[in-house]
Amino acid sequence: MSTQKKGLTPGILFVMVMGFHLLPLASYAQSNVLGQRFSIQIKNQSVEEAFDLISKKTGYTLNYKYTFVERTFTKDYENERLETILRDVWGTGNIQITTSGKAIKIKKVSDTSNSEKGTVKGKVIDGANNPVPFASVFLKNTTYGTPTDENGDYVFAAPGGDYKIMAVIMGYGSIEKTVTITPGSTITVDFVVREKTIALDEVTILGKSKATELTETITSTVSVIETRPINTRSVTLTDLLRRTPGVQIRQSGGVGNASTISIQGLSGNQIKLFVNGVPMEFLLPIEDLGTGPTLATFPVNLTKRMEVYKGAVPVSMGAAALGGAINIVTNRENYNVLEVTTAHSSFNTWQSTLNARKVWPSGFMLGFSGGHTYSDNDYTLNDVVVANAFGNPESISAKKFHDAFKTFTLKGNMGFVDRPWADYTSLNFSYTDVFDEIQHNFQMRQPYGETFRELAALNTAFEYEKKDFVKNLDAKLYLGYNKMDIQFNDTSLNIYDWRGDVIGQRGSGGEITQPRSDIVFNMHNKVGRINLTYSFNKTTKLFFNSVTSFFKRTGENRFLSEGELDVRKLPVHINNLIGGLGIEKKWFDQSLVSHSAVKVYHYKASSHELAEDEINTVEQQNTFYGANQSFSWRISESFLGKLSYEYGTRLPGRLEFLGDLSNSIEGNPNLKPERSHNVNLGGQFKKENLTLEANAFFRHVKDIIWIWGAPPPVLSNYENLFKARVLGLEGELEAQPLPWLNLTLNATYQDLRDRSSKEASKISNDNFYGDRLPNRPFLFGNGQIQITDNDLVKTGDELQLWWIVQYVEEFFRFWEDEGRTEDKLTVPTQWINNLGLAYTTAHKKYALSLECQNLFDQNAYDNFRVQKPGRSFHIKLKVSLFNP
Amino acid sequence: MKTMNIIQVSKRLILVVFSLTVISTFTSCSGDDDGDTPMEPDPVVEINYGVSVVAGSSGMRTSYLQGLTDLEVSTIDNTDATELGGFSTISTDGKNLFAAAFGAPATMTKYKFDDQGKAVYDEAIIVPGANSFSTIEIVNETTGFATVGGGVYKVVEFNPETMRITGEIDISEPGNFFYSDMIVRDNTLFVALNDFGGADSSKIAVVDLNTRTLDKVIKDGRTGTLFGNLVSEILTTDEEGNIYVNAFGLSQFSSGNKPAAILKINAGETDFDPEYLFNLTETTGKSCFGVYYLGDGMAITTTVEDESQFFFEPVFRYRKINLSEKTDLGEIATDLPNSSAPYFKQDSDDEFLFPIAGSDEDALYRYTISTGEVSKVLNSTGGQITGFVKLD
Repeated sequence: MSTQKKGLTPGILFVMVMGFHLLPLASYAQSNVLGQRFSIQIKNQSVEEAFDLISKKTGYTLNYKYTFVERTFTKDYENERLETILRDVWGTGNIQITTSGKAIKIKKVSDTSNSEKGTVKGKVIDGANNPVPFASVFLKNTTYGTPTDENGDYVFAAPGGDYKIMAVIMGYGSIEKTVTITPGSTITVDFVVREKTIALDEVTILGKSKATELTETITSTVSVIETRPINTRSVTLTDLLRRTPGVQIRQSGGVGNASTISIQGLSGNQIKLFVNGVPMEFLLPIEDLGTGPTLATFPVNLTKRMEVYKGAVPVSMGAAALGGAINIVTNRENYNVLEVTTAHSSFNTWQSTLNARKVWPSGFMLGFSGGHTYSDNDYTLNDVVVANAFGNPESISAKKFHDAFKTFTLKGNMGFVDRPWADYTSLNFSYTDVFDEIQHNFQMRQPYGETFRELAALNTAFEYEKKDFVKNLDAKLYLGYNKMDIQFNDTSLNIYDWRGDVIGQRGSGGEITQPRSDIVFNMHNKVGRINLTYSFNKTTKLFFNSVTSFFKRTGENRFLSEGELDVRKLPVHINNLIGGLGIEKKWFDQSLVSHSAVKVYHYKASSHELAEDEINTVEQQNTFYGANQSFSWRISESFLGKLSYEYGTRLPGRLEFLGDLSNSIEGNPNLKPERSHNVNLGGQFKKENLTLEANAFFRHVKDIIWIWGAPPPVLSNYENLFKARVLGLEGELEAQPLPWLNLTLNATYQDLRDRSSKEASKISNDNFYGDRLPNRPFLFGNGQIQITDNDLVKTGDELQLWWIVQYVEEFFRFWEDEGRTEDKLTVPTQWINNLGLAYTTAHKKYALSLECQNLFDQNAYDNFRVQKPGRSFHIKLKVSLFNP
Repeated sequence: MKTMNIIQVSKRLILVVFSLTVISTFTSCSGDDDGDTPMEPDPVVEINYGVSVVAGSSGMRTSYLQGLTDLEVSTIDNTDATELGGFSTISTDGKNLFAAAFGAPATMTKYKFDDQGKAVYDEAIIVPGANSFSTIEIVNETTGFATVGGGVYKVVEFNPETMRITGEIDISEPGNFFYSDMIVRDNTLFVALNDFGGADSSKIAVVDLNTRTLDKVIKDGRTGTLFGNLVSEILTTDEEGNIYVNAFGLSQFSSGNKPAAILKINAGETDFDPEYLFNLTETTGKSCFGVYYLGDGMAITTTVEDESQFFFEPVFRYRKINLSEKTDLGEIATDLPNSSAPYFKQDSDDEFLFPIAGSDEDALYRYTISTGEVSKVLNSTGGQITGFVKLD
């Protein structure tokens, strides 16, 4: 991740290179080992590479935990003392070097040697109020200084006096302030930096946020949502996705309710979800459970960021995604953490998380985290219908009475970080439990009172990562075994109205299914993923990614009478092999980057079908291909352009080609994968306190898989039917007109048009060819104003106030050209306002946030006027008992 | 100093909040300047026919209601039709439309035609817990019967004029059945039962309307289950009061071993006539769906050209049969395309209207009994005509 450029201010260079090298060192015991002399040539190598080289040359094992910024180092040592070499390579700050046998341990120590010193501390943030880790903060023309930590915080001691203090960070520039340090006292100096590229001749420091880094280094269109800056708030991943340009969340209610994700017009199964690069469907039964409940199992405080890929999906995401993917990156700190959060919201909603991790100097780490979410979701529905004594519908307002959602997740891992033989290796386990009551049908017309579903998932995995596993080859390995049990219970004969009263009984059939069901599925999945990156040189890299999975499912309908045939009991097997090979090439001083990739998808499945009371085995095997090509071009320091194309493929889902074995959906072994041509063209402009990003997108999707229903017991099946075309434009503006004020505004316009033949649509003419697809928003956007103030109550504290506005333009529920215009059924224009504040104490030990969502209690809808929660209040407390 | 900061921030916040509120309010408001120019009243439009059309593509279909003054139009579309949510079909009491849409709770909505000829919502009846209305039989302006699907085993009696449910008749005794069609004769209600082939026989619930109770369930094993839907008719009566019952014998519902056939319940009786069986499969060579009485012992049925596509593709062809002679009189027109969702509706003593919902056209055709002539009445460019009723 390092680059080298020329042109750094000589003064800065001098301070950075020389000053840090000469920072006062405590008088540690010298050993004979450290006094040995060696000749070593270090050329453009990172600290880790340099230490590896030293280790090989000297035969000593180096144990260290280097938490500073990544940088490269060049120097020829001729018969130099080992201690000098080690301190040079380390570069900055006080360190303690001790030896034990053939092991050398390097440990950062604090400077407490001078009681005459005062303390300087503060925080470095960027224009979007994100903390900037690894910025170099130092007193000009002195040797005093330190890098910022992961949270952008810094603290160091220096003798009293007047100084110029500087914050320097690659990609942001430098800021200089005048300070007076008084011995024995503490002053706080914060910096807000603008992104700007500065390079050093010998030492390059990268300090961009991960979001910026990913956005700029990935050649395809991507939005990165970092959760850390806002994890003091009561938000969910669904909330965060909803505010991302080009992304629409269609949610049928509140916490944990069913939802559909749309990225630039493609949605549902066409969008794939990943967890740390592993397809989520291998970890959680997302196809059975749905997106909403699944996302709810990932609390914001246990995630690090989300990467939203639009159009071309990188090779490293090993799944057949048609036009987009979301990768949830969970916490994986390599430092000590102990953080607890708890939040309470309207509708009896509780969310709590615990994140604990201990990293020992030996590199051994032990982590444990847990999350719990519960909600009654008993918000008021303003327009639901009950029958009066004469059977006439009467509109009433009623609270939801059967929509509780509960999930808890426990995760643990143990392993090593920053070892010579592994950058990261870990044994992981997690257990997730979900209980989800189902309140109503998809148009919110019929209430249910007893139907629920439940999930238990146990994930175990081994992970290994190593840069330069062999020379120039970075390797990542994931091996997992997952067990998932899911239950769907629909056994009640009771008929409920919206008041929650039982108003009658059916003679047969459940609230949703006919006949009644208590279906359980037991699923086992073994997954392997290998990800390799080979660097031929600084401009050429080769990527390889392969995901293999072996899936087995058995089940039963426990409500069937003894002796009744239940084909669910017969095992279903699905084996997947998804591979990708990509090459990245940089030209023109690395300003133009090309990424080419080919992907192969292979699956083999066996299932059973019931035909005239006989069970037949159905076996399928198929191989498909996909490819993408993307470019990014750093046209100027301020402007980055991107162009990508992907021939996307989505394999038929388990339900689609194997059926649901519940006698209602028949498998269709002849299904073809959905195909899409995806084109994205966009650019990002950054200047001082302004970032402007715009992307145009095109999709042409064919062979869209759609269920063609028939009344039971006749089996419905999925067919390749429709075509659609999407044209759209999305844009986002981020600005910081004043140091305390941040503005974000984004908007998306997407034009989804039918391109299906009349034969595919099973209609007699092409009237709808070219018409806008109904029940899909076409214009939506978000805005946020955030005010930040520091030192409000106490030095180092922070107060954030924010106002968020979400907007969706009115859209038709059915075809726009049909029917009398004035009477057409629509989902109305929506303006939803959220207002909140968060107060964080100094050192981020405590944070308290208050938020009111849907401030004006507007009716909010996504699908078919299914009402979402009205005004709600949220309070959240975050306690960081231990931070790095 | 801190106090000053708080004040400053508060001021800023208030300013921002105020600005946003103003912008939000401003942009979410629409103009209300409708003008005060007096409008000339439109002439009253006379409506004599009601039509429901299901329109859509890409799996997203919904229904549109409209009225027609006459049939002297070559084409209809949905431009001025009333949009309903979901897949609907219609019944009538002679004046109004009663639309039943698929989807829980079962909802039957009455539409009246206003002076401009637009179908406007009047009132609705819902049956919570039921999936949809499965049969509707409107006897007169004040009496109607309906059944629902989804495990709710009752006949709902309602007043079409007031749209109030006036009673319920428990027909749960036969157990788990769907209801395919109903017909009222004398003071008896016959409800065709459908178990999707479970018992491999034809069953009808006979309801005594004097006592509003289930009298009995009659059963005939010579043919299969009685499958029907809101659009089609499988029960019909002749001039003498004989009831003819169509069991279409789809192999999916009868294990393939029962023929499509017509049974008979003689006038004045409430049991199947053991002497009467019109084996349609044997006569036409195919499964047959629906029976529509023309008069003089003649009727229309439809043959099913491809049973596997019964629910998915246009596979029905209209065919004339002689119920008295138990003979097949052939297709009413061999050049007609196949259709989905067939039905036959009387327009006059000598004329019936029927839809073609085909692969290449959606149209309404006329069949003249006396001449046997078939002619196209109009095309529907808006979609499949799922319901067509003549109003008084």
